[in-house]
Amino acid sequence: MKEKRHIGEILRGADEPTAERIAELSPPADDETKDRIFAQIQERMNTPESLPEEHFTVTSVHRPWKKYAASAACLLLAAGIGSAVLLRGGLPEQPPVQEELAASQYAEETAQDISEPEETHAEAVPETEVLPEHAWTQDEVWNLCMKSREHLMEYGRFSCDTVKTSTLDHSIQLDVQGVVELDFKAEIYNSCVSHFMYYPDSVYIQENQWYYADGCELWLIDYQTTDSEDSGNFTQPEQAFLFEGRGNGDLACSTPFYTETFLSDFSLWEIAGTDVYCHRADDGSGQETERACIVLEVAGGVFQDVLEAASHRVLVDAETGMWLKLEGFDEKGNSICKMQLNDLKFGADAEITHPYNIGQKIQNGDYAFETPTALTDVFLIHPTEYVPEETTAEPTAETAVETVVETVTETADVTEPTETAPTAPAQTESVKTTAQTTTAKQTETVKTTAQTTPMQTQTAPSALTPEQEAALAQLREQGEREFGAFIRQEKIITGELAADAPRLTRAQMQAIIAESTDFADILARLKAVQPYPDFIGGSGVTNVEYWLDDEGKEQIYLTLEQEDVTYVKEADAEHDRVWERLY
Amino acid sequence: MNEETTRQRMVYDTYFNYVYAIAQRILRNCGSTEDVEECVIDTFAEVLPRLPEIREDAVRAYLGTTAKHRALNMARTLSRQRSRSVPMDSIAELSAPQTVEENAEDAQLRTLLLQKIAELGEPDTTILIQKYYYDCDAKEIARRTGLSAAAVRQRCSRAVKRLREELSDWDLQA
Repeated sequence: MKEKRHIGEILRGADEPTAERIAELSPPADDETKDRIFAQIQERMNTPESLPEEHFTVTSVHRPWKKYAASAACLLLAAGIGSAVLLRGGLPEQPPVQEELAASQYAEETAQDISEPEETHAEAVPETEVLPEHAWTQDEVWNLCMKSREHLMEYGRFSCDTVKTSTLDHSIQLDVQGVVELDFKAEIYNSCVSHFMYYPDSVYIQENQWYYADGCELWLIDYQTTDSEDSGNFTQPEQAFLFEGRGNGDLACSTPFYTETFLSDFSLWEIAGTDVYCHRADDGSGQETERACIVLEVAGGVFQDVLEAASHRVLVDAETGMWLKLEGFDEKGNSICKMQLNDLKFGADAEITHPYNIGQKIQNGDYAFETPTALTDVFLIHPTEYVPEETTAEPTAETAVETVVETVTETADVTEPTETAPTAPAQTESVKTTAQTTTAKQTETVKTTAQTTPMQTQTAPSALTPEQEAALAQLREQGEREFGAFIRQEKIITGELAADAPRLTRAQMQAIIAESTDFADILARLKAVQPYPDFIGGSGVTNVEYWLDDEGKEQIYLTLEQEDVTYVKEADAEHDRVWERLY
Repeated sequence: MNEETTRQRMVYDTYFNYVYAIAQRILRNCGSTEDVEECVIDTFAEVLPRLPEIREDAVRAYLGTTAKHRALNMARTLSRQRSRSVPMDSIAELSAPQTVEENAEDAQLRTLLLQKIAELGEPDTTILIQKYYYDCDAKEIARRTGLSAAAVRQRCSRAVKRLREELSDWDLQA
């Protein structure tokens, strides 16, 4: 029997030359990180702390404010907060103790022998114990939060109830759940569920907008035109939208991210004390949650532009470090937005369902997705529809409805509504979105738009036999599992393409490439020869596969965003796998 | 940037990967990314000011020795300080020696695996190494590669599948 070998273990056992080779293959740091580290080296060299080697010692107390200072400054600058933002309750104007602590602590450390390492705060504090408030330091809180994922890893799975959204609660349920992949270094994935939402009336979703529910960003994942006549509940031109909401549970899943985002600058936050976080479930069960927590007061925050908050209060779970609540306040101290968990569940108590089971999210069980010709930003882009230039979709009169921009509010509306789309028909519903975006995010969304094709309406195949429908459903299910669709096979099933229709050949592909002026030209010529690829899919990048045989052992493989064309031949008993770049 | 700083930067750029690889290898089982970076910073902070005293052909060896020394010191200290103790033999340089056969087999598989990972081409090569060697999560890899985190996971999954097929003599696990 073959012995199981883990890829990570194999690589991590590398000797020094191999480690060096790995570093050459994929450098350990990008340019930005290298620049940051070099700046730290210069700083270290220019300070008296740069002592000769014999005085050297190390500590497990990190100096995160050094590491994250640059990024925090950038983020703060980007968010337009700058140094003018002070805590709602009034924080010390000068960065209080951190740098002094860093200097004095380092000096102390350097005077010690390495065989007698200094006890650190982090080690002195059992994570599960709630200490008197005076015992918590910013270092400890930072470390607790940054290590919060270890608890997820330890338990393997978790879920958390969240407060229902107030903005889109008529159409979207926010579940947040996570599964932790237990391999070497556990990684959280699927930290949030995908949310299916539909509107009984048509609504226009702008792809270059951010959508929010309760202050949490929703990502437009997919949208489909419906088979309106057959499905019963839909009428043209209704559309269904699939959003992935990171939701309130993101606070727990991504606590390190929020920690870096809000707490990198130690001068902008302080520990206000400890408390017991109580929350009564709003599902009528009467269930209450009580968790010991640490209360932080944060000035500004890099989400100020999005959430319109001048300051934030954060409740950190004292046991796990996960953030239980993030509440934003305006300049007058009014609560204007919050993300909040009801409870955390770990291990066997966690309730996990498959987040991509789109079918279960659709209220009408008879509904079936169209062939994904209505291609979306991140899911499917047909090569012949690919638009490399940046474009901005303009709503049409038929589909556009009023889009009101509004930040989720708890106690007061603070955001000035802005019309971003033409007026809607009277019967349509409005979708509340937030117009304010950071510069970085806008760039990302513009890019997304550029990769998105306009919605196409295509008549669904009609008069299919039950066998055909079953085969189609099975194929689409398989496609969904693989993040794509098997276009050619679908066309064969629906009778739009003969089963023995000739396939693309490698020679044809090479000829197309030779004749083409650029990648767009390649796609256009390819479409003329072979309009139906075997597979289009991917997530984030779009892969198009033209199989040269019925089993796909030989393929022409295109990655649209990278504009490359590759010939792939799977390995067999006699030959190694071939991976040859054609363009 | 003055002449001295320019030279320091050049040396830093030339040997960054080398120093990082040494620190990473020794600290991987007992330290965090921040520890590795601290070690890299300390190493260069010690060596760069002394560049004028070091022969040009000895810079690499000097950096390598310093990095190893500092990383080992840091590893020992960290392993003692951790509440969740890390066995000393988990530190690369201090680990118990394997048998010759085990070493040879591991080395053979490692070489082959690296070759196959390199053959995957970008961005898959970067994705796999960042995930399985540097322990980066999908978000971090996504930032570096310009892909979405979901795309990183997807590509990673497919790349591992390919590796499994190509190295079918071993039961590779992700």
